[in-house]
Amino acid sequence: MMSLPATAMTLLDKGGTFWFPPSASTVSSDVDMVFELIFWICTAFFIVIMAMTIGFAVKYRHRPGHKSEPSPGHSAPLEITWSLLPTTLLAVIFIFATEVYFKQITVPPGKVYEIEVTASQWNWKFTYPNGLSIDKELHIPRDQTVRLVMRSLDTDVIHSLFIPAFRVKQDVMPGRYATVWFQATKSTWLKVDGATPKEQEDQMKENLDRAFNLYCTEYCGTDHSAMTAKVHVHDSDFNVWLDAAYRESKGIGVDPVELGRKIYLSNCNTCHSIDGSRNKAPTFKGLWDSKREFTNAPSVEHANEDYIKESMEAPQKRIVKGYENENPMTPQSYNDAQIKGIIEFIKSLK
Amino acid sequence: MAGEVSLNGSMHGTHDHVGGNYLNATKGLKSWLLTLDHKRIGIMYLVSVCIALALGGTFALLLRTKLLHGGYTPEAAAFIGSSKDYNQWMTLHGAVMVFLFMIPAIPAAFGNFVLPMMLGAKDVAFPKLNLFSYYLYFTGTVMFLVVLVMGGLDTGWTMYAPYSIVHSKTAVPYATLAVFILGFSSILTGLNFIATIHKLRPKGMTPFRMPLFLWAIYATSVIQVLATPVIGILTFMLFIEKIMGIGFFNPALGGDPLLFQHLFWFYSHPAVYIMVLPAMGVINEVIPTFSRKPIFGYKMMAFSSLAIAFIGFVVWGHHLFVSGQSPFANVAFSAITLTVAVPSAIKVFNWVSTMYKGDIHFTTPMMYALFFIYLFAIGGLTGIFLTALPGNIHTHDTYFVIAHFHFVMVGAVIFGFLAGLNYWWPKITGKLYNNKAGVLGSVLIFLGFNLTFLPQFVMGLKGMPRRYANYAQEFEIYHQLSTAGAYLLGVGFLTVLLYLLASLAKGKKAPSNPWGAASLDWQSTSPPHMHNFEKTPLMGDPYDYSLVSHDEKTGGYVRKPGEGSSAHH
Repeated sequence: MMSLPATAMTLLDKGGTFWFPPSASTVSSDVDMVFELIFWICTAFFIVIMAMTIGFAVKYRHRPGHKSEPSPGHSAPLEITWSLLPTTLLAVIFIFATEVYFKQITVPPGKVYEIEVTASQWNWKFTYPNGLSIDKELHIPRDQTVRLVMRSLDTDVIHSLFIPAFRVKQDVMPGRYATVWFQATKSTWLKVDGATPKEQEDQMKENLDRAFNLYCTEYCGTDHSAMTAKVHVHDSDFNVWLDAAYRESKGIGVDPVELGRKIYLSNCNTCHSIDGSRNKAPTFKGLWDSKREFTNAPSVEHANEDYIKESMEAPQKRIVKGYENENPMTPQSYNDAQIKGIIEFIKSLK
Repeated sequence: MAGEVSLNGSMHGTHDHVGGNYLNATKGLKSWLLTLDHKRIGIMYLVSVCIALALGGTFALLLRTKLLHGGYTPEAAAFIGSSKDYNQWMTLHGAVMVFLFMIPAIPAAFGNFVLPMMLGAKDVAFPKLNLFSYYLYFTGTVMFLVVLVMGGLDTGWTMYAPYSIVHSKTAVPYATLAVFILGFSSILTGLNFIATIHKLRPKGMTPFRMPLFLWAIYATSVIQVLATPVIGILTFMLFIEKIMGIGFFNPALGGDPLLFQHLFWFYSHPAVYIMVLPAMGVINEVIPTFSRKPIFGYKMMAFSSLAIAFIGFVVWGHHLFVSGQSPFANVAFSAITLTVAVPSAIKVFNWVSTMYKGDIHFTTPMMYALFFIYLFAIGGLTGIFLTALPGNIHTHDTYFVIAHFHFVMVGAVIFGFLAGLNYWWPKITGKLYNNKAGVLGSVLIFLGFNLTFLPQFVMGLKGMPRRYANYAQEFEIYHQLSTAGAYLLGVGFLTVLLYLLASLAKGKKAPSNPWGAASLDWQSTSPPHMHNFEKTPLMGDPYDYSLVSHDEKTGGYVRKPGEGSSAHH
């Protein structure tokens, strides 16, 4: 169990309220208002019901000398009241809620930035207009209408995209397009411009902390709960970031070791260590050129480029001894520059 | 039918004639397994659904334990291990609870035992069909046990296509076959009860002079007969798609996954009312009896049961608000769903008003009934958040939904079931139980239930998705509270088990009518004679408590002689 102050901190949750996650889109406050309206109406009803229940239970409790007294077996005025009053309030809720719903489903006029989303077991792939594809990270500009055009392959299953901070959710059926739009009102992204790798790492960590969560909310099999992503909202620097990310993905003008380190920090570091310590998967330190022993293949004397590439693309093919009971790694699609980056990064970890 | 009782000669038997009650009239395993007595069949259901409850509860404790730690960190991953375990337990908990416990629990166990007796009848209309229904249920249950052995099930209890058809490597065909068979059991039981209520009512018991439990069972039976065939068709389609590769639902074969969801919820939403209405029926008996007051607004109670049953058929689309269904359909389903709140509100206000100027006895069944009002109020009111479209979009498939349906549906069934079990226990077994232990059990279960599910509302609103083996660190505290609640709930159930076993072993002999209830079932001996009534019971208003008076000799209540006519059929 967590310590008490930490618990209190968690319950208060930075950025959100007791009930809600952070509110960060143009519709989220409307949705919360619908919630508040229903909440107070329901609270009033709940208090009345409980006060009557507890009040009667106490007042008319059985005790020596107490007997039940006759009272009308039904009462038309009362029964009409507690039929019509809820009906009226429900009508109010319905009208108010439906109005907000129409706002939610109507894409506002003006420029729309479209991002292609491919949902698959168990990955979110986001493809930008310039051709850049990133797994499990959605970057969007602030104060601009973003429309996600989503699909799941015919051979895949149903997924559902949920961003609590934006109050949006949409199922993605295999074999048909699904769309959802939102306009973020709060930015999360801080420039990564640290002078040292350590500073950069801290900045990336902070960006991850600040990012909004994106979940798959339609059960999609074994690693359903790992089908998550982070949503980074950029200020005016979105296009600068997009350009740099594109060039980086192609390996243009970047040090491969640095590119590898970045990929490592966002994709690999939950399972692979770089200091030789034991984790869910083999450490990267000293991996290069070392002898590898496998449970399901003959051993290799020198780990080389081909071995690393295969481990990234088909991790199941050869399983390192001692790691056969760990969850298999989910293969992701990497381009040549990224694979080269990881290879050079591992080389640098003597 | 009561006339037939005298043909058996039992009517002239001496009072408390040993050897004449249904438990010891005949002996041996065969006399139970091949019995046509609705009471014994009711007991076989009761034992079966209790085993199912224990099994489903075990899966719940397993999965709640798995959720003690989360956070996408190596430590959490090491604690969780393979998420396959969680996916299995989550699925099996849901499937066992829904299909093997909640749907049959009250109608099949208490419906069977009590329904003919409330009518003053000797048995249900079709006793052999009744036994056949039980064996269909038994076969379906065995099929589910086969599922456990043959690789389990990891599809979620909803078994959505195409995951269940194409991707799951678990025992999906066995599970669909089990649901198919269980469906027939449910249909035949419903049919039997409808016929019994229509044909075996004694002269003078007009529909509006029936105990409201019978109205609830009647409304339930109508849904069982009309809605269950749809899940039969669905599971059959799923089965042959899985076996023969015919593309109903798989888009790769030209099918449509959305069709599965429509058919599934066309049954499964009405099924919610198959579970809830009988529980409400139990509460309709318990509150008046222990308030010594007639139920308030009898006709509104009867009509609201029917209204809930019928509206329940046209709201299934509210499960598909984020599926891509047309916005027009969403708005229509949202509006229709909101109307369910009206008959539900009427019921709540009528239960509470029944207590007005009453003489309230805090017996174990009454405790469950009082808790029921609280749970149903929270469960019902939180349904409004889900029905409003913006609220639904945000909370759909989160723990908010889990908490909502556990309050409104599971809470109703569990508390209704335990209210009924404690209410009719003296009648069924002929033994009294320790009321203090009973009240303690009810309080533990109530506290455990709240601790389990209240935190789930909060984490759901904050965005915690359902069916997640691992989760973001921020939700850990809510999960830990919830898990602690689940353990407490387990302790509560053990308490109930212990005092009921103690009652069986050394409980005091129960009088015919320990509670002073006025419906006909309490005019039989405890336990009842094998043909239910030794003397033709005296008819009367089922909620007129002036018809019974306390009897110092037995500690129970007796029917005042000479008031009301005999319940001849």
